[in-house]
Amino acid sequence: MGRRAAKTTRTDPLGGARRRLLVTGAALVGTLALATGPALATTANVGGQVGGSSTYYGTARTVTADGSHICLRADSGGIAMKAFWYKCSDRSTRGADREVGSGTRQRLGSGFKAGTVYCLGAAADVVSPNKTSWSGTLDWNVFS
Amino acid sequence: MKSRVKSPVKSFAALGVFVVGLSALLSGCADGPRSAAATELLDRQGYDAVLRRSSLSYRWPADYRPDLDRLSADSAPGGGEAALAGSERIILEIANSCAWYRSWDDARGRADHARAEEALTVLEEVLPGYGPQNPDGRRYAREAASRARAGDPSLARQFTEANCDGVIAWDRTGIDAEG
Repeated sequence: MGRRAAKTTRTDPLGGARRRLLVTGAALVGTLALATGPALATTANVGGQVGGSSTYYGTARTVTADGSHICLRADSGGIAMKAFWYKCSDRSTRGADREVGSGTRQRLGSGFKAGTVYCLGAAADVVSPNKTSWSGTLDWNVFS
Repeated sequence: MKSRVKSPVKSFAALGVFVVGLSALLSGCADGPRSAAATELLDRQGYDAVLRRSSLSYRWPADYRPDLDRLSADSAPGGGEAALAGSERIILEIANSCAWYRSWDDARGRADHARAEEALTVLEEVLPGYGPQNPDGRRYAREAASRARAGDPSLARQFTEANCDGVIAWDRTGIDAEG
């Protein structure tokens, strides 16, 4: 039965046209999936200086993958520090402080709407006149 | 006839160009906080003054101008906090983007073709230039403009909903008077 069906397909005079139609359809579906699917993860090297009070960094980043997370891996040389995301257009809309600085990757927030422009903020846990330098990697448009 | 043997001077120059280019590329990849670390920190008052001054350098649609008192109050650093100089520009770019997206959408809704076209020109020519360190944002603005040109307001509305609705107050003084 299956063999006969296969044979029928091969002898169909419209087989070539059908195949081309299928290939074109598959390509269109693929293109559509790419266009509407989640954007690729975005990564940036980040770093700066923090003191005891919150510093609001002035770099805006746009979320393009709806529902995605923002994650930070930061190293502050053993000095405990907190980081958070905030909506660049409204500082009162912000994520909870997350302990970072140990070099482990921490999720700063999740479920972001596409189009959201967010910024980073940070503060050292220790109140000191000296600023602490930190550096790290920021991922967004990610789902894990 | 040209010699096929490379001149050492040319090779050295090419290497120099490569090194300079690579260096520029790498420094371009550096993130804002790091590059901004050496810049000036602003307290609340300093931020407010810079924000108001900078807002004058933006072109705003007649029907959507930001309420600068609210904008400053909502975005300025709190007591004991600091904002990096330049961060006020981000707020203004977001507000300006929302202003033009909404102006375009409103004009489109009331079939005011002249206003819609004026706004569309800004969407296409100005907004994609905002955020030099935010390639995702520039790409988003280009796509939003492209869709708007095709009559699709989805990304323009998505942007205003995500960043401005309920956050940025508009000074609508005189709008009714304009009819």
